[in-house]
Amino acid sequence: MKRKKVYNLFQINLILFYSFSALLVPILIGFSYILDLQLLTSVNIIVLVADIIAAVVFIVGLTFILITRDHFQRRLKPSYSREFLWLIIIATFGILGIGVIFIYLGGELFYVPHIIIPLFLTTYLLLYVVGQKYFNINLLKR
Amino acid sequence: MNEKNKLLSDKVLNKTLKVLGIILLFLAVLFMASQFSSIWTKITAAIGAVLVPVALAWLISLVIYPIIKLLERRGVGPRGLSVTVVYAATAIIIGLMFYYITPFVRDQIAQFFEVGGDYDAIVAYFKGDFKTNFIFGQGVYDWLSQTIKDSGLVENTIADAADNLSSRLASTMLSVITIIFILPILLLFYLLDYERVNDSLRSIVPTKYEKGTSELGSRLNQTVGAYVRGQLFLMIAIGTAATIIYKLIGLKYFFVFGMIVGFTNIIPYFGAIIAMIPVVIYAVITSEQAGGVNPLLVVGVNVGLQFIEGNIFQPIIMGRQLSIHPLIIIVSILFFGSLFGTLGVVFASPIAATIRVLITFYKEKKETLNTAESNAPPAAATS
Repeated sequence: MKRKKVYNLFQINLILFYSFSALLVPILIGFSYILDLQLLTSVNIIVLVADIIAAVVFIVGLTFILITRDHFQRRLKPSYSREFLWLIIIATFGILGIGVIFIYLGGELFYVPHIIIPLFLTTYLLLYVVGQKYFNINLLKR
Repeated sequence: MNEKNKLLSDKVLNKTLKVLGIILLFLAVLFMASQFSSIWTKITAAIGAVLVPVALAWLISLVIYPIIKLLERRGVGPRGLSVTVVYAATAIIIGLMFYYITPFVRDQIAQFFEVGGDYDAIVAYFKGDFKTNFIFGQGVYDWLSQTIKDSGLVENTIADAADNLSSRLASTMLSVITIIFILPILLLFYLLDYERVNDSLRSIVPTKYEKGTSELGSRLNQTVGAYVRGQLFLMIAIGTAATIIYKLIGLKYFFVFGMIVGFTNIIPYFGAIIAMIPVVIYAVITSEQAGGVNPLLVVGVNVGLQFIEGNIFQPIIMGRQLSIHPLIIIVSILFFGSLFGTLGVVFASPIAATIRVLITFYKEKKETLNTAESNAPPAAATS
């Protein structure tokens, strides 16, 4: 019988961390949009600050992950529901942030759904595959 | 033994008599209680006054206690220090939220009510366009408004509401202020002596049931804690996502409407509808104006958010163990809502989760007892 591989918490954390690092700039830009920061300062500065924060988070986070590697490599769970929830949240806010970046780059508000809806669909398809393979969670099964 | 004789057996009759006796006694107690209703009202009010802050403290402790334990595992101790850290962090977060978010909300509300603003547009809509474009014709609108005017329904309702408000406002405000002041202190002492309080509560229970009670307590903490933490997390996530999406679609009061979506999200099923009503009404009325948003887009956003929440977030957060049938949740919202008002609506789901845990625990215990009885040797079973 073919057994399903169970990934350890270190590997799961790594997936989470890389997704978070990749989407941190859009996430921060999305939050800046709620607070109307683009009215207070230029978009370039917002993006620059977001990039700096993302770089710092990446360095600190990677160091932390590598330090705690042995500890988390020994930990296994049958399914990683809480971690998967974080991944969904990261992906959701990341995509919304990409929509905001589109506006910041001079795009029309009208076309934002044309960007974020296909992105959402693609991401959720990706999440479905990743969820089944690594997190042992089926997105379509209640 | 056939089915008919089985029903007439001494055992069944004995049980029926017992159940009837209990029902009669219960009714007698109810009758006696109804004869002294004034005393009972006072006693119930006193119990309510104690129960509400205690229940709130317990629910909040389910969120805060894991953080305290985490801090202690990381070496932030003794308990006094970890509780202080959590309290200070909470105070800073609340302070920052008030500092940064209040101006936004205040500006948006002020913008709504300013002269020539959207409030005036909404009033003008109901006086003008709503009347001329009334779905059943202007004649029906005039007849309806005249009938309502003649019946004095609006005046009476407002007068009654004003009477009720003036009499209830003082007591409600008093209880709210009491809760606001008492809750942090109550929570502080509960968190400081969390284990000791729980041990004391356990020691009240007879030794025979101590193990079971302890197991039930930890299961309740786990289940209801997961539910409360999950709902809180969802509230923040959905509220923030709604705020960003509302702004992306160009809704003017995105912050206030997003916050409404977040807060009402705590009420399952009805919350989404309650949040949708003001934003859709606003979108319908202002859709023709410059900067207005298509109401269908607003409905689509809300339905989409609700769909994602119900089908993706809820099952992952709550899990199978916690999944309660929608019908039970709706019935519990109606029941506890009518019993305790707004607080009842908000806490209907945790209460339903608690009841579910209790029933499951009772069933499991009964099953274990039955299995133990059937497995026991005959001599031991008869003795």
